[in-house]
Amino acid sequence: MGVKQTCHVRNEVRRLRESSDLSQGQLAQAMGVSRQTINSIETGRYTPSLPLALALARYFARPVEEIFHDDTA
Amino acid sequence: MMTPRDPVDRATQRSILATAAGAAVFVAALLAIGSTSRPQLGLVLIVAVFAGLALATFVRNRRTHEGTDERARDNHRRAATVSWYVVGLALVATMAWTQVRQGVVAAEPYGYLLTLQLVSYAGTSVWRRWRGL
Repeated sequence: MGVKQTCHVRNEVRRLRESSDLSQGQLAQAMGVSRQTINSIETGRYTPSLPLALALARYFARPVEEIFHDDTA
Repeated sequence: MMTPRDPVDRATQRSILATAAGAAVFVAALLAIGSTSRPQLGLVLIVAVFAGLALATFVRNRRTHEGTDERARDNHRRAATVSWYVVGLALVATMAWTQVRQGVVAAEPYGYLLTLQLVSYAGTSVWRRWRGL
């Protein structure tokens, strides 16, 4: 069965970042991406690659599915 | 339920507007220089501006990853795809127009360019499939 490619992926990046008392710039620097990329992920405009999603999960010490959810599930 | 969207990042919008304004000023400056008695200064301006841009972009990307991270690469791929279609359509239209107006021989250069575009696309596709990508 194919995976639906058009599903909307919600995420908890903003909540986790704010609870860690980090700015977007600080998280961006830790992930090796731009601040705009973190902003786009948080607002749901950009879905990160699997390596970046895994890096975020590792950084916040959470399972990746706890940070990224399929909105249609 | 969708994640609520933030207002669009104003700093990015300002940066894009400043770049567009800078490009307009650059073109206006080139046009102004072109109408003087020393149009060769336009070449100096082009070299200086592009060298400065390359340096500024390099420094900014090292500092912010703005032009080199995965989202920038994704945007680049999408922009390149649109550009590929636009150039392809323009070449087809120009080739057809030239063939009708000036004959098949006159349209040959456009045909070569179109062939190059298609061969480079097919070559890249085949190479990626060959590598199992």
